[in-house]
Order: sequence, then structure tokens, then C-alpha cells
Amino acid sequence: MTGYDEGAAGALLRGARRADVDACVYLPDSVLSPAIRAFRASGEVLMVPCAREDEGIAIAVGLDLGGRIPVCMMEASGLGYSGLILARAQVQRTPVVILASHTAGGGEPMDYHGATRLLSEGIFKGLGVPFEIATDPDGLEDRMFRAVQTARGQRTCFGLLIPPYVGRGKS
Amino acid sequence: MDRLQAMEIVAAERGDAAAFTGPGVNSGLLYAMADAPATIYNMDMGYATPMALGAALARPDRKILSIEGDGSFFAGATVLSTIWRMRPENLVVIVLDNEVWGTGDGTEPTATGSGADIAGLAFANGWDAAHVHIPAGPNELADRMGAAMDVAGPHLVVCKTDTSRDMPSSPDRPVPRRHQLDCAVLMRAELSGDA
Repeated sequence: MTGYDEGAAGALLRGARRADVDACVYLPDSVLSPAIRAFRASGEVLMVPCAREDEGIAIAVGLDLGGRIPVCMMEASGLGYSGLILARAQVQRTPVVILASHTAGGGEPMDYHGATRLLSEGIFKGLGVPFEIATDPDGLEDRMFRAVQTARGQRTCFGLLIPPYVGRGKS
Repeated sequence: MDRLQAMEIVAAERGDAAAFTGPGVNSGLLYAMADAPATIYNMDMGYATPMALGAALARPDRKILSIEGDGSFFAGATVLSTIWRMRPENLVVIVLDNEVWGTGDGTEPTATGSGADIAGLAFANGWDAAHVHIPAGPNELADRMGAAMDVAGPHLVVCKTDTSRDMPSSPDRPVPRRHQLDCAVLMRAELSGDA
């Protein structure tokens, strides 16, 4: 691995690579941009920028069916588009790990993330998709690794929600 | 050209391509005409082509086919920009455009029934004429399909069909006799050897 290897971004990359992740479908997002740059800089991950988040999850499902191990990165607002494709992925047991920014918890100062906060956990809960909230930068690498490990072992989608203060490494 | 004619041509040209089909009668017809293990039937609206794109990127050595009606394709048409950005040479997208939704009584006009132009949308997303095909009849569809399956893509084939032999929603409409979970298991086994 080369390049971006510091803080949360580096931890997410290391955890993903330990779990053999080799593809990343993403829509740029301020919280996850460092991680997106880290994945790209590694040179070890097929990077697929998409036009909508639900489109991206569908692409990730196809990548999985073709033998790749993908993750998706997006702002959680995009999960709002993605209920149907996530449900289909669950019905056909196609594991996709989704890293999404923003949660219903603390550390969310911007009012324009209000709708995003409402749905980030709600989509996962509504569909019965397991998820975790990474409130602590420590242990992020292991969390990432376990998310992929669990998704693939259990043939389920898995959400890993990243609050801004973790993704950006700021208080 | 009607849908049955068009699907017969698509089925004949399928070869060993892995296929992703949109919701509705195209899925049932492909199952009846050219079923194969590497087939995802009745992908939910708007997602057959993005999923096919993912498979194409994962398996560049395997021809990947997406078959959609215009209603479903248009719902997910942002994927045109993503396909052109990634340009997988092994992806062929077929849109059978009858200008009506295939659900209910099959008479409600879609976007293309009100003037939307899917091929034009592809051009607006950067595609060039070598990769966008608009066959005017059965012979031309067969020619364009054959070329698209042989020549490096990605290819988009937009084929107008009339509704004379469309099959509106009813118990008589052909449906794939394979559960979505089984489709995914078989597709994964075919493409990656991992069931």
C-alpha cells in the first residue's frame, strides 16, 4: 500500500485490504473523501465513481457476482435512494458493505444534514441490514475488516456509519 | 417489429453471455427462449444495467448483456454516464422501447412515449455513434446485435418495438421459474466459481 495512509482513511483502507476488498464504488462525500483518496492512491482497488448512490450499490452487487469484493462509500443521504436495491441484495444474499457518513448521534452541527441523519440508521433498521456506528477512530481498521468479514460470511449487506468527527479526524 | 421478434433475435445472439434482465415480460421471454445459469431475471426497475456494469467490470473476459424495457432503463438512465466513464468493452445493453409501461394494461405512455430519446440521452452523456445503435427492423437488429457481441464496446442498442404482441400483466404472461436467490447463486458460480 502506498500514499494516503493516515488517520481514519488509512485505517479503513488497511481494514478493507485485510479483508481482500478489491473494488470501491463511490459518490464523493466530504466525510469520506479522505478514505476515497486513500483507496484510490493504494493502486490496489478498482475505483468506480457512480452517478447515484443506488446505482452504485447495484454496480457493487454486480461486482460481487463477478467475483470482486466491493465496498460502497457515500453520504448517508444516498441511502435514501437505495432501499429497493438494498432489499434486492438482501433477498438474493449478495453481500455489499456500505460506508456512509452521518448518524443520528452527536457530532452533527449542520442543519442541512438533518434529513440525512434521520434516514442513515432508519434504512438499515427498516431492512434488517446489520450496521455499526464507528464513534471512535481507534479500532476503525478492525471494524472495517469485521464488517467485510461478516458481510461475506453471513451473505448480508452490512453498514458502517462514520460520523464527521471520525471521518475527518476533527473534533 | 414487435417484442417477440426482437426478443427472438436477442435470444439467438446471446451465446454464452451472462445476462441481466429488467422487470416484466422480457425476463419471462428470455427464460423461455434462451435460459442459462448466468442470468439474473426481473431485476428491480432501474438496476439491471448498473448490475450488469458491475459484472462487466469484474469479469472483463466475459460478455455481459443487459436487457431492459424503456421504462426501467429510463428510471436508471444515470448509468449511461457511468458506463461511458468506465467503458467496459464487454458490456452490451439492449433497450426494447415500446413507449408504454409494461405493467397494468400496458397502455400508459412512458417517457419515450412523450418524446424522450434514449439514444439521444446516450449521446448527451458522451457516447459516440460507434457505440450507440438504433436498428430500424429485425434484420438490422440482428446485424447490430451480432456486431455488438463481437466488437469491443460498450454498446447500447435501442430498438423500437410496436405493441402488437405485447403481453400486459396477467397470469398468462411468461415468467422465469427460478427464484431470485437461485439466480444469484448460479450467476456467482458461473462468473467467479464461488457459489
